[in-house]
Amino acid sequence: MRSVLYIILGIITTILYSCEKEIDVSRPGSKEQLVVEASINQLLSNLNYVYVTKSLDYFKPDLTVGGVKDANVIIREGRISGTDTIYDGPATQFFNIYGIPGADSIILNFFNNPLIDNLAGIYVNPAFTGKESTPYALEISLPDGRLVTGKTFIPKVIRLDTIKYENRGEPDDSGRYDAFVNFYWQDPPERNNYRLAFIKGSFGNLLLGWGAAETFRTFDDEFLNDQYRSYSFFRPFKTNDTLNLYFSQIGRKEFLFWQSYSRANDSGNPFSTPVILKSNVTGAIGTFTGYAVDYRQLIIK
Amino acid sequence: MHVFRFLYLLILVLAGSLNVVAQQRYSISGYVKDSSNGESLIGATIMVKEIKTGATTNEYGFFVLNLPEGKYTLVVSYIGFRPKELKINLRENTKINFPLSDAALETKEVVITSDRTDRNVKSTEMSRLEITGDKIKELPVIMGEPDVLKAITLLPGIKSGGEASTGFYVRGGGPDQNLVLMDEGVIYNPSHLLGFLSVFNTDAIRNVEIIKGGMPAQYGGRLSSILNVSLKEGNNQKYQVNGGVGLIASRISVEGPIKKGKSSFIVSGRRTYIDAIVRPFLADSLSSNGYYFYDLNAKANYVFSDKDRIFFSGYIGRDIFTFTSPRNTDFKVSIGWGNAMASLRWNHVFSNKIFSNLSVVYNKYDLTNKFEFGQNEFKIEFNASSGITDWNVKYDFQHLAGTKHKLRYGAHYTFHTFQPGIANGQAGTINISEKIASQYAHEGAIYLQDEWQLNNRLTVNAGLRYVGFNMVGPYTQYSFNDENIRTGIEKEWKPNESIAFYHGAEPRIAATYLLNSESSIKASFTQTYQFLHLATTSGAAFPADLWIPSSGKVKPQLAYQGAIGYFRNFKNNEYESSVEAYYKPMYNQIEFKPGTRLFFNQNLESSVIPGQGLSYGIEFFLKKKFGKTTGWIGYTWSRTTRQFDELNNGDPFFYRYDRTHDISVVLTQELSKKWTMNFVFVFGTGNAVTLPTSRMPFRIGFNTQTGEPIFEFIDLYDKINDYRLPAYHRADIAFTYTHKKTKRWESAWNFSIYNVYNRANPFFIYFLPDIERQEVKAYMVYLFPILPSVAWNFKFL
Repeated sequence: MRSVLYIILGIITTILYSCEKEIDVSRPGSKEQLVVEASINQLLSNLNYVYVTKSLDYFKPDLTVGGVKDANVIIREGRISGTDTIYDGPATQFFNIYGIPGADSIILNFFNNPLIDNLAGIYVNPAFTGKESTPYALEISLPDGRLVTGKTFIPKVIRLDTIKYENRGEPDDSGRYDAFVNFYWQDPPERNNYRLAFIKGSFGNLLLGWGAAETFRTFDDEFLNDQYRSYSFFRPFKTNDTLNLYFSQIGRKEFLFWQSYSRANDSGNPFSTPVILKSNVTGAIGTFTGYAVDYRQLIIK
Repeated sequence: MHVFRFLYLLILVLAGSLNVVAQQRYSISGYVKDSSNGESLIGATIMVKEIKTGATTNEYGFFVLNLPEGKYTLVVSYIGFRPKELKINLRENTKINFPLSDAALETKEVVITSDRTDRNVKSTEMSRLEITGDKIKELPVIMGEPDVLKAITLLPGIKSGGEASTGFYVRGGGPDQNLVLMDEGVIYNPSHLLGFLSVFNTDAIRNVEIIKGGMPAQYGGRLSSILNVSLKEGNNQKYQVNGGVGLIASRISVEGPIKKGKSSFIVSGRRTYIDAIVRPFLADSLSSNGYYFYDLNAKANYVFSDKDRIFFSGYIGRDIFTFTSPRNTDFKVSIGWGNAMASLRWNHVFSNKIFSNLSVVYNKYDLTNKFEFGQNEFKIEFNASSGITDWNVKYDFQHLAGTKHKLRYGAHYTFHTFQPGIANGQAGTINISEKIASQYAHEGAIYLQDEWQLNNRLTVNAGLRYVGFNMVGPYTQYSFNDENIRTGIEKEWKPNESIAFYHGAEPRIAATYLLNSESSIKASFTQTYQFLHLATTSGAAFPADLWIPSSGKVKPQLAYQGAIGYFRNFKNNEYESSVEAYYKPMYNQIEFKPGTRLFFNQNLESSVIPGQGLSYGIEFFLKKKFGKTTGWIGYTWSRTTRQFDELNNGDPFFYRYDRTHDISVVLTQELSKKWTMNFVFVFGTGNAVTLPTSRMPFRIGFNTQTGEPIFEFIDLYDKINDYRLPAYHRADIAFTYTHKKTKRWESAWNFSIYNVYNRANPFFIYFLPDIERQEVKAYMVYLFPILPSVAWNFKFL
């Protein structure tokens, strides 16, 4: 709703001769903060990673991303005992991606980009596989003594019921139709189910990082609990497009982070108020999210 | 109940005892009207020459004087009208109606001298300003559209929400703290075009009064100001058509007698054609979309006798936005929002000394959305709405008790219905039907005030308003745990069962001490509660913002305001000047936790962050009222802060519209009988805004085909509103050419140039990293460069 109103305001602003000019803004420097993006799931080992980096001063010209190379990253499995959650399961160390045999070649191009010369804060362990209905604890320690901790839970997988598409209208010059896609799932009777759907089209599935998905959507069941649910893509796909859908159950705190993230990503317009990210890690900004992933691929014909 | 009993006794004692004092006196009462059309003149002065005392007409043009038996000369005057003198021999209670003639219609030039009003100095009113509909039309305008809300921001202490915005902020208060009244009906959202124009059609406006402090006891419900817009009554002598054609909207009014001299009507309409103008300039992909607004005002009155008259006023206005996707015509969005108001008022004069008005008012603000997408199994339909509806009854008495007391007392009751959200629709085979429970509240007030002339120098206006607010059922409150997860039903209330009840006294006192015939010192103190809150998370007011009631978790807003001022008139009241200082602490101000969803949030109350505000400042005002050159200069120095424990680390921060320095100059120069020039200059310290301090890379990934990294930068913030945008200033000029009037036809052209020296004023700023040059560039967006416009106003008799 609000986004539609922003569109209206944008149209009015454009109509009313809006112009712009470059100005100087002088601001004091900001304090550097650690940033953590930690992801684990039960299905795809390439989407188990911890990315440790630092915030950048907004007004400093250097946009080089400062990955933190020398962190000690441990993810420990836990268990639920009554009302308590105990993290006494096996601990898995995640290694800086430089240390993984063969990883260098995979990400060679990744590091050739001068802007991310220091983007070395990615930690992985191909041997790690998450489990459904299992809690996990994250601990990141830095040589300077800084400590980041977080907890998450990989919920039970709720599978998509179906994905459908419908070709509409006339084909374009290359014979491709606009295809409108819906996906469906059954929300379980209990309340407080949270989902994150990462959507990726155009090129192959995700190799490393949810960032390769074009977009994501968040869903909760505050109003539509225990119902057969659907989601419709407003933007049409085209014949021969490949749609990769990562439909994931996540916990509430993780959901709140991603919801705030979504709003923060949309807060660049002048009429919105700044959004504060609802981190679920301590000692840094960011999230430790356990995903119960159901992965589907659809090729539009 | 003790308070009610006390007020009742006080009225009886004052009225009764003072009647004893007034036994040898007689009253003179009546109405002052415009002779050409029968419109009541608000604020006209009736001066008794022999004893240098007088009265002013109220909002219905009624006046009453109480004088000892004797011979008197009454002088009735009103700015722009030829004064009238009448000698009377007062030996009994007398009713006199004064029709005044428009000075501009007289063949002989009228020079108003001895009868100029000194209300600025002598009355107990302070922090109160007026502007007429005709004056608003003369001011330079943008896009040829005169606007009342933009005009009032040229007055000291009233700040504009931004470039060409109709949002206004009075002495540090928020836009929701202004009570906007149209013929006593509340207008909850006074804006069209998301704030670029107001809902008020200038052709329908008779008078605009704004009270920014020293609020009289008959008003309440908002902390900061009262904007009281009185609509024209309609010409009760002859039919006439008024209209205006601007660049983005046109308006037309038809008025005339229903029964000559007894009854009249006026119907006014306005519609923007911004949709039609813009369409040719839009890409084909957007040309099927539309955005327009319209207003319709209607008013009628009937004079039964000198004692009884009734008025009916109605208003409906709506903004409508429609969108059909150019790529997919199945994708349609339609959004409409607007106000509706209907009021029925009965004026009755109980005796020559008691004037009463009974009003029954209905008002509503609502927002509706309709959304359609897809076909067949893929079809999604969604309708949603939200809004607020009020039923009001107000009974107000103005009572002249003796020579020294003017009483005003009455009662006001409102029944509010808050509708936070209803949604229903269909997604394929799935039905959607959801509703956030409506909320209901009774709001009531009784008030009494006495303007008491203690001696020739000192007049005190003391009043008390006692207010109550009762949020009632039916209502279901859900319980939520610490993580805001709904855990069940906490409590259910039956219809009319009290959920939260607040009440309190609002003392209002103002005093004027005359230093001499040309200067006075005034002081005022007011306490006000506000039981309605605007839920917004945006820097701008949006139609989707919700009004919510005070409840168990959301406490009523409270403000105190003290003001002191020096008022001085010069050159036989040709010039008015004043200096006013004010101090205004505000409590239970609300903000929402960052990221709070307002629409369809069952637990919105828990997202409220309570805090406080403080505003103080000093306002200087100099006005020239008569002559070929008229106008005013206003300067305000002020400071406005907010403090919330959960925001900004609990530290106070500048309110977005804190404006240290604010200057406005308005100048009108009669160049000839046909040409008039109007000039406006405004200057204001830049708005306080929150800028990002750092950015974080997130959502890492990379393209497996190109090997290129993918990540997003998310902005991070620290202190709230710790950066000032560049100062705002601009000058506008307008020339009005008035054609020679005939008996049946009047017309005038208004040629305006907005932003004469092409100042680039900040609307907002944004930042873009320049990857190649490794730097972050700041860009300021400004809306209007130098912008000429033309409007044509006409009257056909």
